[in-house]
Amino acid sequence: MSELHDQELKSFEAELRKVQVAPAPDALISRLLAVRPRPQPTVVDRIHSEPQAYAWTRLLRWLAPATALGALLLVTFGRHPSPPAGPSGTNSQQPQSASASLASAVQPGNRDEIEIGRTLVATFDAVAEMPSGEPVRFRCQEWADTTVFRDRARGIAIERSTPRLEIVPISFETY
Amino acid sequence: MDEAATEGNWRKWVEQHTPRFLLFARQKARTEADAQDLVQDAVLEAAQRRPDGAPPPAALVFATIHRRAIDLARGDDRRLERELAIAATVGTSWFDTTAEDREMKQLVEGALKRLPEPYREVVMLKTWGDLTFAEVASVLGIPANTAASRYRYGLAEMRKLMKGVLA
Repeated sequence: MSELHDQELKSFEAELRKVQVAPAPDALISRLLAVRPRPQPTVVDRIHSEPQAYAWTRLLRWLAPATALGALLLVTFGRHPSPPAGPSGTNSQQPQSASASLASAVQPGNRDEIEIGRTLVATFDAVAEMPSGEPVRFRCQEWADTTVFRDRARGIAIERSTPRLEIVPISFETY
Repeated sequence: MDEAATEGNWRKWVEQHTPRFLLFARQKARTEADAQDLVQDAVLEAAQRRPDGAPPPAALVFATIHRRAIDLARGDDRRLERELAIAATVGTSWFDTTAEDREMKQLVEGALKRLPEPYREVVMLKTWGDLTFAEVASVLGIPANTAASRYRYGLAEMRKLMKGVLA
């Protein structure tokens, strides 16, 4: 076998490269085009897609305690229905409605002093557990809304005390 | 990269590389159908190793064809004999005989087919596969120096077989 010098080798190689490879059959090209791989979701994509689902989860987390709180408030205030035409305000509405009912029993000209007071009877924290097992903390405050009517001329004093319970969710993140 | 661009890249890659993959597979397989199946399976397997959906490196596809061809050759002997008989009757041209210099291409193909396989596959991968010696060595599982020496020997042998038709 004769040896090829570098120059001869490069020249022969260049000639060979000019020879074109036969084209692939169309059927094979079509088969390969059909099996085009699809990009798979990467770890980064999966991480980025989590916050949306996580946001929904966080939103739903409020549903259970909020529903429980709403039911509790409904039960609490349902026992002491307020008249529809009461004065505006939130915290003072309950004592004022009580005072209005009492005032109807006292002659308007006779009452000379009305005292409305709020007394914190008790406060405590309660921990509930979500269906998912996550603990949720509530701050419960028991108030006594007191209304006192005095008629010094007659020496009459009417005092009415109404219990009220406030439940405030403290934190959903800790623990 | 959006879907249309990815599909365009894939089409361009397939049209550019498939003829070279098929040329290599034809040297390994005993029938044209086997060669095409080798190419398809190798492309699919190599592409699945790219999670981003980008076309795989050509060297990886060549290496997969090489490995799968070895597995195929270990198949049923009777099946191989039947396929050999079919291959002898059905000839498939390795080079583009529709273009000019048809005689020259037939000479190249004839010389290439007469080369011993270890030299033929190196010449094919280097000349028409556009691989480096390092890539050829990786595809065939041989040292790069061996690939280079086989290439040089293969070219000399081809030139001898072509009786000085080329320079």
